[in-house]
Amino acid sequence: MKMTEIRWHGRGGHGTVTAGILLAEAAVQSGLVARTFPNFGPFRRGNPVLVFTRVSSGPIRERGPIKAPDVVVVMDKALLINGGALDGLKAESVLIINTTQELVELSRQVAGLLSERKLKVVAVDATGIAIEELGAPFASTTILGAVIRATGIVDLEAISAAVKARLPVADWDRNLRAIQRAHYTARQN
Amino acid sequence: MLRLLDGNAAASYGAKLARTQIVSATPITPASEIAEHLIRFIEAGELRAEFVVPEGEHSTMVICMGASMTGARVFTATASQGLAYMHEPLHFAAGGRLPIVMAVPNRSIALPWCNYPDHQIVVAQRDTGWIQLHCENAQEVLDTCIQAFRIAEDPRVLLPVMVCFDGWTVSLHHEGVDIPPQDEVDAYLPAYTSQHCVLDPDKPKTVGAGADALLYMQYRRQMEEAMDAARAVIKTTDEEFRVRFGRSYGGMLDQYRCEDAAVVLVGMGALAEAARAAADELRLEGAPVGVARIRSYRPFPHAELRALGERVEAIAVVDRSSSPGLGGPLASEVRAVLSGLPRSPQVYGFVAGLGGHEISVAHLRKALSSVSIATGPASEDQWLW
Repeated sequence: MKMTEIRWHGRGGHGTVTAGILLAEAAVQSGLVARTFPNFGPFRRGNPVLVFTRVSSGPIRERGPIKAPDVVVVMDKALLINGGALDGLKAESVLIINTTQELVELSRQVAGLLSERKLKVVAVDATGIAIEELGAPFASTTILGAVIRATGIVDLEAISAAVKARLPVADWDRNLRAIQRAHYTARQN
Repeated sequence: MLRLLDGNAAASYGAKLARTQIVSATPITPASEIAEHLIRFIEAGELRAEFVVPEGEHSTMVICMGASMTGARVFTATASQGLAYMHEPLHFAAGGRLPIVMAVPNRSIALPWCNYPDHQIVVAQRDTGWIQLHCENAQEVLDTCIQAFRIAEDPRVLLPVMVCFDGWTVSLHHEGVDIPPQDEVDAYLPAYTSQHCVLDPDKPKTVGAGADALLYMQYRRQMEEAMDAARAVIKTTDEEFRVRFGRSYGGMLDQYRCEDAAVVLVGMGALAEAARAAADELRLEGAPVGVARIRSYRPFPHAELRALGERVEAIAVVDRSSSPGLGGPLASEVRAVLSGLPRSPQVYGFVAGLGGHEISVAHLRKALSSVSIATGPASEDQWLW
């Protein structure tokens, strides 16, 4: 597997940093090489947060921000326009968006923002699922289900192992349910 | 056991495996998590140690000194403004020859206020008498924290050690880290028994008494000799680590493709990884370039740099700090140790990555390429933007 670069656009409080860590943990436990790190602005809830995750089967020699991502995960659709989420996208990049919006409408909107360029767009209502399963809008662990479905970087089993390695026992079942629901309800154009 | 850890967690695992007995630290970005991890280890009973709550970084170091004088193994962590505030007792700890180990995730210094990495404030501690080891990734941080206690406690050395690594770039960067087994670490790092400076009510003594000029100068001379002795100790400690754990970091100076290089890039910290990638790219294009990462900033790798200087045509030194009115401090020190060689290479200075400004492979390629074609003596340091 060649290196996959994932850029997450979230806000303080979404759990975006944790999502990057869980994905990297799942990759390491699957025998891959992974690195993940955050880039905050001011340390407060609601502020935009960027997370950069790299996964590869071989050595990784980069530590800088990801400028040309293979995958972009957008936790809050407002960041699509104002958060630089569309910066540096490549023709084959995958855009995963946390939204209640219909996929067709979302794809049209994204195509408009990218001047008609076709892109693989995935829509998932991670916040809705998180509210139901976790009782709180912590959509970042939930959206992992959609991320691994769209990219195939690791499987559900590896994510499950990462959740068990990183989160308290009391949080395992509900997070795994949320991740599975996002996995099976993510819609892709 | 391979675990996903960031540099801060790696430092705390290193301190835990070293069986640290006293920890004291004050929260400061980006070092706070190091003490937080250690407190969790202590609370969970995984580390038999005491955490002493200080009111600031100055007190932190004084607490560490007192703890070390009881014969305990002592660990702390700080960064940036905290390190600056600790500057005065840093001299006390080194002058007292107390083998304290401190993790320092490198962060810029205000003003302007900036949370991101550079070497400005850590380089400014170079004359305190602390050994400074600079790491480039989380694995090296963990391993070097263990090595640091062996170096600090060696009777030929008895100096405190800073284990420095770039804030954020390493301290908050999660990556796969192998955690060595405790029994192997115990065999590598025996328990500390203090011979030279123990506060014992049965054998009262004064520590930190006044000295006349001659005594003062004798003590300072001993520190210089201890730093000199540390050179060999740092190398053997790293080599013995490799024998037991299969990993080593180049001792004083970590050299990559330098054997037949005409041009070498010299720098410290995480930028070495990007520099090696840049060197590999240029090698494919036929340019004989290499990278020498200064792992031990104090003691400075005189002999290694001189041996390198005798072989190469030119050296590009990339500083992550600047001494206003002089230029890059690392570049000036490299020039100083190379002066007087029968055939000195040209040394070109570059200042880069201040306040976390990105240092990419492209930046370092540019530095190496420009030095490869440069002729004549270097003018003032160039800034890589």
